[in-house]
Amino acid sequence: MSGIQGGGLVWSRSGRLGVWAAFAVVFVPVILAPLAVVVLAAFAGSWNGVLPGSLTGRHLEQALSGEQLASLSVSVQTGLLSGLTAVAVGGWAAVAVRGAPPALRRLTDAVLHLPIAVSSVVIGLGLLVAFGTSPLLAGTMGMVVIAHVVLVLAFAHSTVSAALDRLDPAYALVAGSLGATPARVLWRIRLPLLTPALSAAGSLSIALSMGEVGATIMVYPASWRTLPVSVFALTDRGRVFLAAAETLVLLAATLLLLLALGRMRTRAAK
Amino acid sequence: MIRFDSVSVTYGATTALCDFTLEVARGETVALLGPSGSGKSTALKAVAGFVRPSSGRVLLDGRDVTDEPPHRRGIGVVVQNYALFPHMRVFDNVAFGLRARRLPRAEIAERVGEVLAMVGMDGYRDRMPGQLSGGQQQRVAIARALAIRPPVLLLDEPLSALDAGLRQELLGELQALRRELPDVAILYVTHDQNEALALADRIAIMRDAALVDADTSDALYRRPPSAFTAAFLGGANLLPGTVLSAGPAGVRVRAGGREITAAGPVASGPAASPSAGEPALVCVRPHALRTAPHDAPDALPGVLTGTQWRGASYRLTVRLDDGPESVVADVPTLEGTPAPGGRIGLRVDEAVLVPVPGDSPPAVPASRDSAPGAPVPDPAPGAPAPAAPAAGDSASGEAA
Repeated sequence: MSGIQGGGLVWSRSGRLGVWAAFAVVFVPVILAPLAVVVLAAFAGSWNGVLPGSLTGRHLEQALSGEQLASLSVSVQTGLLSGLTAVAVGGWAAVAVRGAPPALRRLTDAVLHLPIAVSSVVIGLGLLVAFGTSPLLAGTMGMVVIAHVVLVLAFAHSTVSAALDRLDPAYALVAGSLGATPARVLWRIRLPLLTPALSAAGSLSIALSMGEVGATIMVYPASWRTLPVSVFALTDRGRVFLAAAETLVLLAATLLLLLALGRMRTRAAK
Repeated sequence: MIRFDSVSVTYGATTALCDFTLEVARGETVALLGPSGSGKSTALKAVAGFVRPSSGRVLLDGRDVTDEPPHRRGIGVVVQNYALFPHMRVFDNVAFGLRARRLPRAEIAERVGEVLAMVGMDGYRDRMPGQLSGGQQQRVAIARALAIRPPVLLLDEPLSALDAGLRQELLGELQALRRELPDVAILYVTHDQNEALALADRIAIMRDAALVDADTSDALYRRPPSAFTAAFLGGANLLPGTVLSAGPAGVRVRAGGREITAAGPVASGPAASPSAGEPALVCVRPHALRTAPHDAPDALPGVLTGTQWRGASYRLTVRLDDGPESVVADVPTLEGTPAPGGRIGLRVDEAVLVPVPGDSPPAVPASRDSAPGAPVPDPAPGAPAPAAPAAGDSASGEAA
């Protein structure tokens, strides 16, 4: 393996080892260790020493049945719904402000990023104050979806906006000169060329939505409890092993969803 | 067919095109030629509708299209990087404009086949743009623009992304294509003088966002109306001097430490009837200079500062005794030429010397090295023919 393939621009063996060691120092305690503990806890019957004892699949079985399974279904539906909505709204905003004056573009960008600059609990509280008494939204899944859309919109918008920056404007200009109306240019040229970015924005939005808990906990109705809220409630009640099992299910479901979207993206690209 | 009527384009405080007026007739090819930033691409964009003029009008066939969006103008455009839609096959790229016009499928297939055959790409209709070479992409881009049968074709530096060999080959193909489109007005933007001279009926020289000169390529080369055009088109030496007298035999000028007569054809304008005592520039092409002993009475004396082998000829750089300017001369052999640093004389062919107004700074030294291949103009009556272009010159875009 050459230096470039194996270690980027680091050519010496000791240098490459140093890079990998630094990566491991960050990756193992910050990412890998918590995940490993969650996985072990999901199968633990008890945990009194360094390692868990009496390994069991009972927690996982519970996590995939009854209310817990319903929560998983709610999370997947919420993720898909809010992810698609965020891509549609954020993507539209990115395309719409393309030809606008720079000041308006900056303002749009700032407004869309504002929700992620504050705590998600604040967003939940804001929605509760704004729509808590609305007969259309109060106590419905709509509140949860809106909260998620508001929180992931900035990511969807930024992803599509960055892709638009890289898109050669000559495509749209030439398409226009060939007689295509702006709508046709959007539908036949811009959107197909933005498909990878739209897909990436969708994946990111869904992943973020699947893990969202701060705003959800403020607005969710009893009939629409997401899996992260369920994990939070279980942990709060001291049922840590079941919470770990649900977390494992949530991770697996998100991963499968993203893999499926990635597969669809690859097929579309062909 | 195309008419620019005092068109100006500004971006904030920057003027990209200033008071530009030009006409391109049906069946005519006009090249917009100029250095980078001279406004030539902006002019093309104004016709295509890609930029909106801040003042002036653009007319197509007498119709004012200044405020019309591009999709209502019906113009074929080929841009520098071709902009083939990467997610569509060659067939779909070429059919795009026809589908936008909602033509019947059978007609679309027929017309796509017709234009692809015209550019020699009929066998590539199922390829994706990424599977094509640069030259093939260029052909498809032209086919796509021609498929809608536009009355106006705009070509924005279509060969600039290609290597020298392919550029020469496609230049020939564009010439052939031109003959197949007798009714199409073509506006060709380029900074390559070879392309302009080879393709255009007329050339519009641009500089600093404005039109400098516009005329037939032969007239601009042989009777440059301005110092800029003389230097930019063909890489002329411009000897500063003072007019001594003007008459039917030519303009007598003191330049380079000698009295010389510029007896070449003169463009209309200030240079046509200069008065004694006025400053003037004498345009002398590198191929019109020959080496001579430095003390020859009819030669311009100077010091040879450099020689450069250019394949079939040598380029000498000589600092003249009189005046700060260096001049370049293309000679077929170095026989009798001193080593760099030695004294040398340059004999000029007065029959092809042309006076140009002396008040316009030439300021395009770089163009000498990128000057075009000689247009091989007919010699002026009684004048010897200019030297044939050197093979190496042609390949490198050099003037003879």
